[in-house]
Amino acid sequence: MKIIEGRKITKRFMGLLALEEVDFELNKGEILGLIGPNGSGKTTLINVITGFYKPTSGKVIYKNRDISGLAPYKISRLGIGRTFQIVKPFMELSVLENVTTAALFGKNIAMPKPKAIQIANSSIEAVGLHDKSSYKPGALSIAELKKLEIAKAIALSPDVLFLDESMAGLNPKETEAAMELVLKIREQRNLSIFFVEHVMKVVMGISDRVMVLHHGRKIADGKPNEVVKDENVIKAYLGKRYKEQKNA
Amino acid sequence: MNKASEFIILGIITVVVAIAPVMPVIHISAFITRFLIGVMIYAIMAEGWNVIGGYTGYPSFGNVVFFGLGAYVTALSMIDFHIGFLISLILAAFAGALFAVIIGIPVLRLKGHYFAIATLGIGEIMMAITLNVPFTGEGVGLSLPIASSSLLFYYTSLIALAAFIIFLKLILSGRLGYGIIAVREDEDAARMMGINTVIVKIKAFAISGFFTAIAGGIYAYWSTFIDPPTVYDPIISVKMIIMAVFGGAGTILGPVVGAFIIMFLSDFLSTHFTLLHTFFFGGLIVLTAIFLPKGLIDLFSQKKIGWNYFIKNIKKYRV
Repeated sequence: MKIIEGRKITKRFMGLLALEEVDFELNKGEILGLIGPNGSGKTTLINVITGFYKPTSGKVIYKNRDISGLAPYKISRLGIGRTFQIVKPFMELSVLENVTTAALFGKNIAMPKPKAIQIANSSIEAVGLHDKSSYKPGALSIAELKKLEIAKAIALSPDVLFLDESMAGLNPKETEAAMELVLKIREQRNLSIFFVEHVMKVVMGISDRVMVLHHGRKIADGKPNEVVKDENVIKAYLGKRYKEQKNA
Repeated sequence: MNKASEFIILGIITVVVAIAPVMPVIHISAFITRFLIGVMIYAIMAEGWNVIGGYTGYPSFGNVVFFGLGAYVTALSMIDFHIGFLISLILAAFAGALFAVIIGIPVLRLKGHYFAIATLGIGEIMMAITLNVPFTGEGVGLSLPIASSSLLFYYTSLIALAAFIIFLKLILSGRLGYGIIAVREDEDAARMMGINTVIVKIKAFAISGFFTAIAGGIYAYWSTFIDPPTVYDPIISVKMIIMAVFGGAGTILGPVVGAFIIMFLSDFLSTHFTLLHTFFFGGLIVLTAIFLPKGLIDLFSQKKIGWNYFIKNIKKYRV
């Protein structure tokens, strides 16, 4: 069952066509991986879906409702959470206060503060930052900052989560842990997840389905092991070496 | 903040709160009463700037418009409509808040320098309007009735300042407070958290305008005469900023401490070094910006104050 879908999303910046009639769909409970070379429009697509950009044409349908062009705060209140490629912690606030802010607003807008703190604590616990909840973000490592981003996103109690390169810059061990975390929060919180990632190991490891963007157009969409064999995808993104390694 | 400094601050607050109401009664010279009224009027304005500049992260250089507007609304309501002082103050406060909403809608879309410049322009526009509209007395100014006792101003400003501090404390611990600080920290992240950043910013600006207009109203009746160059003087905006930042922007008590110390130093220096006082005054502000960028109040939150503290501060904000 589709929870969110895009219909022919086009986004033009002056002369640059960043997205060209991109269709996508995310089913309930699914993990969809989005890959593509730098500049292929991945973050632009997320920005269009979450309301930071208005699409030039096309529609975003969420739970049978047209949400294209709504303001980000309205979109997040409908149950769509997102993390940013460049982490955006509130530097002057503690981890707990960071996440409490999200819980206070988010989907349940009339939430009393004690309840919000409780939700914040459970979100922090879920990403494994509970022993650092009184720290300020300045004292956290990159891996922990990425976890904080995720904690803030899930404190909104979303139904759909967009993760924009949540694992970039992590070492292999941290990446492994982050993959487990994504699978765990989907299970526990009944989430549908749409994520952008460059690390193929992650993409192959946790995606139910993969879609590929190239020059703003969708060039492939399907099961992970089918997509990586696709000639267009190999040519545009993965390169011959990837294919040879797989065959070897 | 550690236990000892928390204790010291609580102690100071208790003493101030206990003494302030009886100050004028127990003795003191008209000079000190006058000085304290000035401090409290500026403390309200510095705190007003703090709401938009310190907590929301929008450094307004035009907050004097609320001061001037408050002064004029109070004066006109007392002179032309013979409305009592306190009611006039309340009218002025709501006029300040309403004006903040009206100018906030276009101006709060701007960020950083652009916001600062736009707000600076609004002060000049209001001065020009007031100079050219007949019912404001134009360039001649307005004379207000003379109050029977300066105690009225002492208590009105004390109550207004206390009410502002308590109100701000309540706001900050609630949803709006979290929203305001989130806007300062990262506006995009705030939007993605379901925060309507436009509304949050407008509310913060309205609070700022509301209380700054009260300060203007008290000033108008206290000084008994207002004209546009005095109450729309851009230097007043600059003073609010200096006081708030010197004391500690983004803290509740910082601007109050800042107002007191800056007013004291400015009085002291100008009486003792008539010609050189701006040198010391300016120098002090430069040194504070370098060594105490988070304001005086930050000293209280440190466990130990040594060279390390100042070196860390210098490093923190340098390029």
